[in-house]
This record gives sequence, C-alpha cells and structure tokens, in this order.
Amino acid sequence: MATDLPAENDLLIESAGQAFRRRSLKNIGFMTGLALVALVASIAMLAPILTAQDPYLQNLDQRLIPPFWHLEGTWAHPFGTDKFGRDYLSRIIHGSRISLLIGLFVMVISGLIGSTLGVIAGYFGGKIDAVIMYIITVRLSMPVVLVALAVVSFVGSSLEVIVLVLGLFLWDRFAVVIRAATKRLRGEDFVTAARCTGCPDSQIILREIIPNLMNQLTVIATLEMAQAILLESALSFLGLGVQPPLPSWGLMIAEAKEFVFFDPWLITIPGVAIFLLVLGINLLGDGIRDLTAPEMKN
Amino acid sequence: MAAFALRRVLLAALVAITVSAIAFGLLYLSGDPVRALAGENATDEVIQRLSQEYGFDRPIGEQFLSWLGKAVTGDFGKSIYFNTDVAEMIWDRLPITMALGVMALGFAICLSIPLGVLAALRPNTFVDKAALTISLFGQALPNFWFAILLIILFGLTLRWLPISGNSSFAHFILPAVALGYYATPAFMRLIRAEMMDVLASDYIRTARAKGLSTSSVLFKHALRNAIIPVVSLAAVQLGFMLGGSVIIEQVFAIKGLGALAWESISRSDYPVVQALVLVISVIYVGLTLCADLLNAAIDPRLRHGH
Repeated sequence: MATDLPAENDLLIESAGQAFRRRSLKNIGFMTGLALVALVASIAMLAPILTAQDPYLQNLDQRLIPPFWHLEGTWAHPFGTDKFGRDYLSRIIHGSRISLLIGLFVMVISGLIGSTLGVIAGYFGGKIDAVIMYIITVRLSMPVVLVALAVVSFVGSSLEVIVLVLGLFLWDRFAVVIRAATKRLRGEDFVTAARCTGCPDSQIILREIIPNLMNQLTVIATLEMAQAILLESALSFLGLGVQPPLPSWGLMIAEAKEFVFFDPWLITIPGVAIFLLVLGINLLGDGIRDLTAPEMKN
Repeated sequence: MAAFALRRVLLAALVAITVSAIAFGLLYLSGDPVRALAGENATDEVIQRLSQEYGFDRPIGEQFLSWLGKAVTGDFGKSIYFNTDVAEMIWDRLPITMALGVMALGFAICLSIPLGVLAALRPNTFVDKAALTISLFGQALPNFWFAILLIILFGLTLRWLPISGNSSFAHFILPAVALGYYATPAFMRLIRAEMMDVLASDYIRTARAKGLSTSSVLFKHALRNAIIPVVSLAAVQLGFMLGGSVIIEQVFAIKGLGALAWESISRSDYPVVQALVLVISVIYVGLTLCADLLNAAIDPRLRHGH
C-alpha cells in the first residue's frame, strides 16, 4: 500500500530515529555536553601522542614557568611547569585518564549495586522492599567524604581502593530512582500480560523491566560518573586519594596550594579541567533526560 | 499519626545501630586493630597490655556492645594521640561546625528563594534559564576549588574578608558561601517546583480574584505553603553539610569537626574517627527523622504507605 502514497509525503514522515536526531541537534545543552565529553575522552585516549613531554620528568632548572598568556611564558610549556619543573600541559592531559577511568569504573560498580537493589525492591515490593529501603537509609545516613577518607586511609590508598570505596558508596541514587521506576513499570499492562502467560519473574525482569529502564539508567549513570570524578578530586586534594607522582587534577590543585599568592594559574588550570569535564557529563546527562525521559525532570 | 511516628522512630533507631556497627567496624579495616593502635614498633608486652585495656581479647560482638553501651552514655573512650576524652574533643568542636553549617544553609536559602520564586513566576524565560544555568555550573565546580577561588578573589585580590581561622564572624562568610553554594541547586529546584504547583492552585486564583496585591498573594499565600517542604530539605542538607565540612574546613583552616576528622584520620586516631562517624551519622538520622515527622504532621497522605 505504501507505494500508493505520493512521494512528497515520504519526506514528511519521520522515523523515531530521525526525530530523535533532529531533537538532539536542537538541544544546545546536549550537544555542548557531548562535545565536551568527546573532547576530553579523545584527549585521554590520545594522551601519549598529544604530549611531547613526559608528565613525570622533573627539571629543577625549569620550575614554575608561567603559562603562555603570561609575559614570561613560553610555547615550550604552554601551561607552564609546576614546582618540580614538570610540564603542566602534559600532566593535565594525562590527568584526564585518571578522572575518566575512576568515573567509569565507579559508575559501573555503583550502577550494578544500585540498580540490582532498586529492581529487586521495586519488583517484589513488600518485605524485600522494606529491607532494601532500610539499606538505602543506612547508606544515606553515612557521611560519604568522611567515611571514604577513613577507609582509604586505613586500608591504604591506591587507584583500586578508591574505585572500590566510591563504587560501594555512590549507588544510592541508582537504587532510589530505579526502585521507583520499576514500581511504576510493574503495574503496566505489558508486565501483567507477561505474568499472565506464566513468564517467570527472572524473565520478566530481564526482558520486560530492564530494557524499559535504560533511559533512566543512562541519566543516573552520567550524574553518578560526574559525582565520582568530583569526589576523587576532593579525596586527592585532601591527600588521601590518588597518590603522587600521578597527575590527578585534584592532587595537582593540592600541590599548588602553597603557590596561591604568586602563581594562582597552577590552581586555576586543573580546576577548569575538572569543571569542564563534570559540566560536560552533567549537560550530557540532562540532555539525554530531556530527550528520552522528560518525566524525570525535577 | 502515632503509629506512623512509632514506625519511623523504630526505623531511625535501627539505622543508627547499623551505622554504629559500621563505625565500629572501621577499626578492623586496617587488619589487626591492636597493631594499628600500638604503632609499628610496639613490643609484644605493649600490645598485650593494649589489647587487654581496650578489650581486643574479647569476642568482637562483645566488644561492639560494650563500645556501643558506653557511646550511648556519651563515653567514646580516649584519643590514642592526645590521651584526652573523645567526647570532650567533639563537644569543643561541634559548635564551630554547627555555626558553619547553619550559616551555609542560610546563604543557600537566601540565594535560592528569590531565584526559585522568579523562575516559577516566569517559567521558560530568561530568568528561569539563568537560574538553571547557575545551578548547573554550581554542580560542576569542585567545592574545594571554588573555595580557593573565593580566597583568591575576596581574600587576596580584594582583601575584603579573612581567609583562614574561625576567630570572628567574618571568618565564617567565605566558608559558608563555599559550603552553601552546593545546596543551592537542590533548594532552587524544589522551590521552583513547589511554587509552580501552588501558583496553579485554586486558592491562589481566589486570592487574586478578590483583588489582593501581587506581593500579598506571593508572600502571604503562595510562598508560605511552598516553604514547608523546604524546611525538611534544609534538615537533610544540614546533615550533608556536617559531612562536607571535612573539605571546606581544611581549605579555610577552621578548627571544627571536619578538621578534627581529617587530623584524626591522618593520625590514625581510631577512637576519634569512630566517634565522629557515629555522631555525624546520628545527627543526620535525627534531622531526617524530624523532617519526616514534620512532613507527616502537615500532610496526612504521607502517613499511609507511599
């Protein structure tokens, strides 16, 4: 029958994918976020190619050279050098790898814990839901920064420990949002229909519930990744996160604290890097929410 | 209401006990707690004495119960580092951090009420978008970095405000702004959503219809009803701020609970860390309990299920 339709009409009918692409191109926040995240991700992937200098190489003759926009700055070190004469640009570029890696791994761990708890609580309800709500309340009442600092300090700091500790802490939003979404889905007709046909719970969860949670999951995943990156930088800033000589952005700010009077750019540059990455991830998350699940707004 | 309150109080008590178990367990993260307490070069004799003194030779359940029993009466033992009473150390610092938290909360609310109300009055206009952008930017700023930027601008360049210590009211202004800024987006979104709900309601239309002035409608009728959920959010945010004070107090050299926590963690002063985790968590549990009870007292729907 479709062949009977006039050709002009074909141009007016959009597929779901086309409509989505058209709306995403119009969403400024989403496009800015995507661009920022893509930029940082490609910098992180291409770090060894992009940096001419070794980020760990100390050169005590070349300490505290200001960045290129200062009068004394040189293009040999566009972002200047730190107190050990290490090239600041190379350290910023390599630092992006630490932030992104920690953000991604924490997101995966906390996402697995939180969404598993959330789906189980929302789907089964009753006593199981009450127990999981109690676990969520316990988690929420613990001060994250304080406990994370204590654990990292008592266990010993390494990238693995930081990822594990943050992953074990940041699942609360996943659990809360996914629980509510699962509860809603459980009452939908297609789930009831699946149950009527004798589908086991595990199949309903895997085939009916989880695919419908993907939008919400993506949104929280981005927000939690941003959260993890901020927390890592704070832990590193306090000296109990990523350890020197690794170029973590938070640690770079801590190392530059003593130069706040005369060389504030040592602090502003890594701060701007964190800000742009986190802003990009948040914009991307908000954009995905607006495009796919606008009911989650507020 | 009584049944709801009882259930809610029981849950809070259960959560507090669980949190205390976790706080107690922190000591065991380092492996052997006696060795951690005694230091690396301790002799066997010292270790034996310490293990008897602190009761590490007893089963762990018993240790926990005796620790919890004392904690309930306000006895958190002695600091390993200073050999002083932990409860006293915390008691000395608590007012400073509380003052910081309350000031930060005040800043957040003073900033977010006008922004939230404006955004609700003119949804999807420039004001609304500007408010959203401010909150988006705020959420992306690492708070320790924002704190240092405040120091550079208001402390070093303009020389308006002191940047370290806690000896006067002026010393608390920059830290309160740095700490409170992070609560602003949450307040702003809540106030905006609540105001939009309230403004669309019948009694506001009635108030307008009987010819009340805009300011009277806004402040006497609308804001008063929109503010109730804000009070409970404030309780929760104050709890968060006590935890977040670790970072801000470090930057501004304020000698409050957060600084005590950081110092004790770096000195491996376990009894102090345990007590701090417990105290801050219990304060948070208490604040959320108050918020929930307050909400339930105002809105009967919340008392029955979800």
